[in-house]
Amino acid sequence: METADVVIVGAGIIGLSAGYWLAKAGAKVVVLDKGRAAQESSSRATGFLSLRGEEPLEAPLALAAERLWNTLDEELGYPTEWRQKGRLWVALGEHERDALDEKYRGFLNTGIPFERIDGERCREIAPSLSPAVIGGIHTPRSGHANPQRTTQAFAWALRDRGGAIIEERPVTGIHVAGGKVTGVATPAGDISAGVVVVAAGAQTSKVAALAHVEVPTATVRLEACVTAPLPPLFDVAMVGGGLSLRQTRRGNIHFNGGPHEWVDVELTEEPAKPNTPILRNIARRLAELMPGIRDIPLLRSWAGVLEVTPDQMTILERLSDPDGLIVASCSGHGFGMAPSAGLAISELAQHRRTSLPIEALGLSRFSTLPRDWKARRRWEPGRYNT
Amino acid sequence: MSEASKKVMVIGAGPAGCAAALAAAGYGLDVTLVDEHPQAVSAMSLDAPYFYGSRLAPVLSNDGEIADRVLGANEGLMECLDAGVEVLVGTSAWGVFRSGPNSRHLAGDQVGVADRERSWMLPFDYLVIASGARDLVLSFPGWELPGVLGVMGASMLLRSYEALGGRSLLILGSGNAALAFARDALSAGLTIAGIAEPAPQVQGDAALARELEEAGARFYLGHTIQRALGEGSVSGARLAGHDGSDRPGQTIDVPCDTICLAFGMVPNVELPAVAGCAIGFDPARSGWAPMVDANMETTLPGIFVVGDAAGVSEAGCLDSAGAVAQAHRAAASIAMREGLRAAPADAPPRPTASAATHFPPDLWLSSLTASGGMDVLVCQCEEVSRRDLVTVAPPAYLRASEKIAPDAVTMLTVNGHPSQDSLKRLTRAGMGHCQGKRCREHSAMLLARAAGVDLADVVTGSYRIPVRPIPLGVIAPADESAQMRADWPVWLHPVAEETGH
Ligand SMILES: Cc1cc2nc3c(=O)[nH]c(=O)nc-3n(C[C@H](O)[C@H](O)[C@H](O)COP(=O)(O)OP(=O)(O)OC[C@H]3O[C@@H](n4cnc5c(N)ncnc54)[C@H](O)[C@@H]3O)c2cc1C
Ligand SMILES: Cc1cc2nc3c(=O)[nH]c(=O)nc-3n(C[C@H](O)[C@H](O)[C@H](O)COP(=O)(O)OP(=O)(O)OC[C@H]3O[C@@H](n4cnc5c(N)ncnc54)[C@H](O)[C@@H]3O)c2cc1C
Repeated sequence: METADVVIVGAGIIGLSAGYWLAKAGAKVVVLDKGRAAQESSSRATGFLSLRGEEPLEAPLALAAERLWNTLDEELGYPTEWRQKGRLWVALGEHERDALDEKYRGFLNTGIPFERIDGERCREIAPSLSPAVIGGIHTPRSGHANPQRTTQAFAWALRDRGGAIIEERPVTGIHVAGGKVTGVATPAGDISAGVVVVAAGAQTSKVAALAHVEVPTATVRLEACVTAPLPPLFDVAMVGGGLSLRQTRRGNIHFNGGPHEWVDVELTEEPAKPNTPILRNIARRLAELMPGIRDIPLLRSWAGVLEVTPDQMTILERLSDPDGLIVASCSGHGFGMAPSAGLAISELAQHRRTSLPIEALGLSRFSTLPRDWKARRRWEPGRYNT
Repeated sequence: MSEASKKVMVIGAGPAGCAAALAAAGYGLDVTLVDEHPQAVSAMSLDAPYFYGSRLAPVLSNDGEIADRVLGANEGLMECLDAGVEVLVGTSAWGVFRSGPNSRHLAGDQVGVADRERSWMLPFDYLVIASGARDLVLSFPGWELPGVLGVMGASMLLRSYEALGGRSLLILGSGNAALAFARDALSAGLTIAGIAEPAPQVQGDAALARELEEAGARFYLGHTIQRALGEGSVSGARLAGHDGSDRPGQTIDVPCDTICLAFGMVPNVELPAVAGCAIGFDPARSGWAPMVDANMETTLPGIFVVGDAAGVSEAGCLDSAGAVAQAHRAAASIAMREGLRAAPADAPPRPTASAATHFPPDLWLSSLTASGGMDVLVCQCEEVSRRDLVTVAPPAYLRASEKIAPDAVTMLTVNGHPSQDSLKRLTRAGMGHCQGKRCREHSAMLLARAAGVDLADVVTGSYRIPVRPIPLGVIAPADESAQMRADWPVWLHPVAEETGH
């Protein structure tokens, strides 16, 4: 039988980051994916590091991620296109101002420096912004990277350090004996390991359920687009006018936002990720936010399916029942969180403990979650934009 | 037309699309026919749907004149108008949307269309995709010069836009498309400077080849192109003998002002692909083509693909009768389903391997690589060379400093299937403004070679909406509802009360 110290289920950025740190530490690590590495959310994300400024319980892990991001290219040996150029939230028109003020109040809960700025200052940071932008919140902290290159950088670096990635190898069972994890089942045979990490993105709940562990998540399909390349216009990671947007190193504007459909996923099938006509409205928002670029072509769109936890905070825990099972779900901001989340997983896998701040991110916080939480939120499959 | 009549959308007003629209209208169905011609110069400059190249004659900016020429050249379209078909010209279809798994909120099936000013959605009950073929492009030094273009682009400019902009043509390839184009060019009074072909014999119809030879066209058999000659525009071509080895043979310079690529044509499958129709590799149909049944219906009920879009053949390059038969069959099948016709139409001929075009053009690629080397660009938009592609080199804006992953092509290959999407994401080949139309097949062929697998085993790159690059201000809807504006979420809604919000 194949054996490993640690089997990781899911070769998205979380599994690959965990695998990288484990391989670097000398562990025998195997990352399995039902499809190809890094073809789901991780390569479809916008590429921001969310600082979780409104979540004091989660911000410390984001700040740890930021420190790792700042030297990640050297660490991995491959480019991620990370740029620590700050973040900017803008209000386009009066109706967005209240939301901005509320966000700013929320941001005061952590020690991260955020500044409330006026429209003029927003346009100094990003001159292409519409004159209708009336204010913003700025922080020089954080930034953005290229999701496709970053996930690939983790994959290459993991292999350079002796880790293995096995693609098209779905996990269909988790073996437990005497309260301890002993390995995973796949159609191509079992792999034994004393530690199994569930980092299966949208399928995290389904995979964890194989070990009778309930991880509460709802899954949702989101759409994103890019324009043709433009000369450099702005370098902050921006939120405003109904969009999240960044300009890539190549010059394309990469943006997403808008209504989304709650969906169902299967354990081993690739979820359908169709685009819908809403991408026209998404495009309209970019033309409104930056009227000077309305003649630039929209080049491509795509969609991604991701999992959301009930409080939209990361779940990261090494369980004691069954012992050796680690679950990780980053609830829609896993791209930015990946360096520190992966490092925490690697430490938990090797030492049962981690120096990283994850105390508040365990599953016990959901012990009083009502069984019908998805229905109450209208987060059930088929629901749109609620 | 009765209120209750089902809506049939036809995309593409070539022989197949016009025949489908006309037949469907004849059954009393409510038909809308959409075609992107006449195109704006800005759209042509993106090399969609054909490889027009960068020599776009000034007259192409004269919209009124061009509209007269293009519409006047399309008899089928005029017949459709007379038959009461709603005809939308200068209108491209950029997406097909279906209510289905994970898009259940969509009310019905619809096509996204756009003209130069605006975009809108057209609902349909049946969709007939007759989007034709596009040029299969391979490259050689100088291929970015004005005056280099694909045979389909050239044929369209010659016959429809009357704006080819050259007089002396070198044609690369000797299949039926190459020969038919040479024939059309001669009868338009142009000169054929030569027809080059790396194989030792003419690939297309022998009688037509003889006819051309008698009219003075010279065939350079056993020859490939080493480079396009000229400063600022094409003034000639340097041909090199090709004997099947890696070493280019004797060279010969052929003066010409236009170099026309007739390496091959592939079905234009972007729309069936984004709709979610199954697409399969089939050399008998010249590449990746939609899977269709005898009615030309795809794996998605109600969506049909007919004509060159369903497969390109050598015979079809000389005669559109097969394309028209497919269109009639599809229209009859729709009519039968709606109770407007009792029996099916005659079955259209099935593609056979013997009627296939010479796909993939392996000999062309080998000879072009032997004579042009590995540093020729594959992707003009993102400046990716053959070497960059097979070494999975980082894109130009990163290159100088970056290390290349060892054995990267092997890592893109899982169970014998290399992924073109992975290659695209890492090298950016195919991610530029032509949306991969100039490099898709070239890149897939190089990937197959580098991975040591058959082309059939390449997991071909995905197609993305919009299948034409459309300005933000055009694709944006003018009629957005106040409700949508009020409810628009930037990201997932923040968590509200347990009871919902
Ligand atoms: C449009 C969009 C924009 C986003 N923007 C951002 C952003 O700006 N910043 C940010 O931080 N986050 C962003 N996200 C969220 C982010 O992409 C995810 O949180 C993150 O990628 C999750 O990584 P992951 O490795 O957990 O999951 P994934 O990348 O989804 O990987 C999970 C992997 O598990 C595999 N798998 C599933 N089931 C099995 C099984 N049974 N056996 C084997 N393998 C299995 C899957 O095939 C998949 O490859 C965005 C997401 C989307 C869709
Ligand atoms: C050089 C040459 C010479 C030929 N000579 C002859 C001949 O003499 N006699 C003969 O019978 N046949 C001839 N043929 C073959 C004939 O042209 C084909 O059989 C025929 O074009 C196939 O018809 P079609 O309707 O499938 O595709 P096409 O004629 O290619 O029509 C497809 C149409 O769809 C449009 N379209 C594609 N995508 C979109 C979109 N997204 N939105 C809107 N519109 C779109 C295209 O622009 C195009 O107008 C010749 C072919 C070539 C290349």
